[in-house]
Amino acid sequence: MEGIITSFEFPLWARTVVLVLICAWASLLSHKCISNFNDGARPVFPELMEGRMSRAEFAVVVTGMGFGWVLAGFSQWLGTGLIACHLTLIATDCLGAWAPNKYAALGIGAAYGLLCAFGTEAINAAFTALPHNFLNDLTNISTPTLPIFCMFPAVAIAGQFGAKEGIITGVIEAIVYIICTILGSLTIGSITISLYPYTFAMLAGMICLIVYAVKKGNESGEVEADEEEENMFSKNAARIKSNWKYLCVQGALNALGIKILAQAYQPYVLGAAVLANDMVPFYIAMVGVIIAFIPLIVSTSLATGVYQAVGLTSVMLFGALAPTWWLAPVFGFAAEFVEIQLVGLLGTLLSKFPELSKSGDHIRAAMSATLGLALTIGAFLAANATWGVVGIMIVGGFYTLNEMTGNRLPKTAVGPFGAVIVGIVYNIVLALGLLG
Amino acid sequence: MLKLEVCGLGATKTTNIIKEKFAGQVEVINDADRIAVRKVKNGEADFYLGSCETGGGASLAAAFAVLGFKNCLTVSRQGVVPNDKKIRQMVYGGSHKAFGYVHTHTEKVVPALVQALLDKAEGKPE
Repeated sequence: MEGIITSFEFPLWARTVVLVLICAWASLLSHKCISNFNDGARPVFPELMEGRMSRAEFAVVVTGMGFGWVLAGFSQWLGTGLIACHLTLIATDCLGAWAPNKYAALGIGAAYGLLCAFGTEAINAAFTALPHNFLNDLTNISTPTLPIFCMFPAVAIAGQFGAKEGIITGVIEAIVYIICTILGSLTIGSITISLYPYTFAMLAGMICLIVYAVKKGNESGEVEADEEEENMFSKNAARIKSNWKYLCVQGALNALGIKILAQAYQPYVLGAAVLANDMVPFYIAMVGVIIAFIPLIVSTSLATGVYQAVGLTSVMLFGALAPTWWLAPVFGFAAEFVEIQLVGLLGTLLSKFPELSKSGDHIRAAMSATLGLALTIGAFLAANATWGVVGIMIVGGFYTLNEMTGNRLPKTAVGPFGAVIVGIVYNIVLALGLLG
Repeated sequence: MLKLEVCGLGATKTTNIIKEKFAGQVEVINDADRIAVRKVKNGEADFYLGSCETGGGASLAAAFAVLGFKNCLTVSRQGVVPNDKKIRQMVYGGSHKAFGYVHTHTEKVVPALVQALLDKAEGKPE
């Protein structure tokens, strides 16, 4: 059941066209400082807009912030077979930043989209030509994803409210999981509901999260934003609203992209859900993602006037939920439009309840921790499948080396890269005839 | 006594490191980011440390809004972890009030960063 996605419902040409459109448009929006994907690079945009940086200086900073993420995006593709936003949109941030004019931005973006679509196909073909095609082994990378990722609500609760509360949530999630596996499905009258264990475990955890958040209430109380800040926020909210046509087109393309799997978001969770033929864990995870990212995206957007290329990520949820491919862009356009209208209001809400941004931090920290662990374990499983204990040794060495040198590679990328290195070295050794 | 506001994804780890290594020299406060940056602006706290996945986005978003871009410094970012000497140079070379770093770099960045802030505040040479 687990593995990487190699057969798609929609043909390569359709996915390529959509990917090219996504990349070209995102590159244009980055060039025009309307939206970008890398939240870390967003605060640099006003420096260009207000003339404190030249385009070249700006592009250098944006590229510097993005490089590690493109690598992470590539490792996501290796682990899932899906072209994720980190591979496409982080790069289009940089390409748009470098582009001398808007036509160049569109052109380079489109070219990059083509490169992603055909490059990944070419690498796939190259894998099959190897003495040992370790792409099949890499499928192990995503095996632990859902089992560990579904525990993120418990980890977030432990971080925010304490270990005891975290353990209670974890136990509740585990019990729900076991009950679902035993019952299998529930029949009420003539309707049978399948009880997908991960779905309901995650759902139970999310409910606990809300219960604890409500119970603990708002501890720090309100803060009054000063006038200068209010002015900046409303000016920037107005700038984002005035760009609604550009942004809604991006939202529509993103939604279409995720529906036909031309472009993925949260690829490990999405990939696992697609392969299990049950999208509900992805929907629930996306609800968590949206809640977790709202404080981050709203505050960086309102501080800069530059929006997020995937918005508050709701277009990914609605795109995936769309019943047909042609409805996906309609849903995406509408979701993006509603988001843009809400940004100012969400900003005010966040000023009133500053603890909300802390909750967002804890959820994102929990997602990062669970996914990092899952992918590291998955990488060990993959390396073991390729080359047994030698594989485990190489991934282990790679992981600890990264740790000792201060985690240069993100935790979600280091394991998968290690597993790829194992595959490459194993093939070289095979080709040299050193192994029987 | 230096007063530091600590926020973001690595806040717990950062707080623990500072409490262990700089006991008696540094006071750590864990306000929500929007409150924290305002305290730094009003002088109720000396510096703001924020951490996130990128080192410069969520970690510093509130600081950019309240303290301004000029007063914020991204110390580490994905793929780039400066060494202790470089961190010291960054701190001494500017007059930043807010510092952002990638949360998985906490163990490498925080001790050198806080040491530099302390020494600079006490007037020690670089």
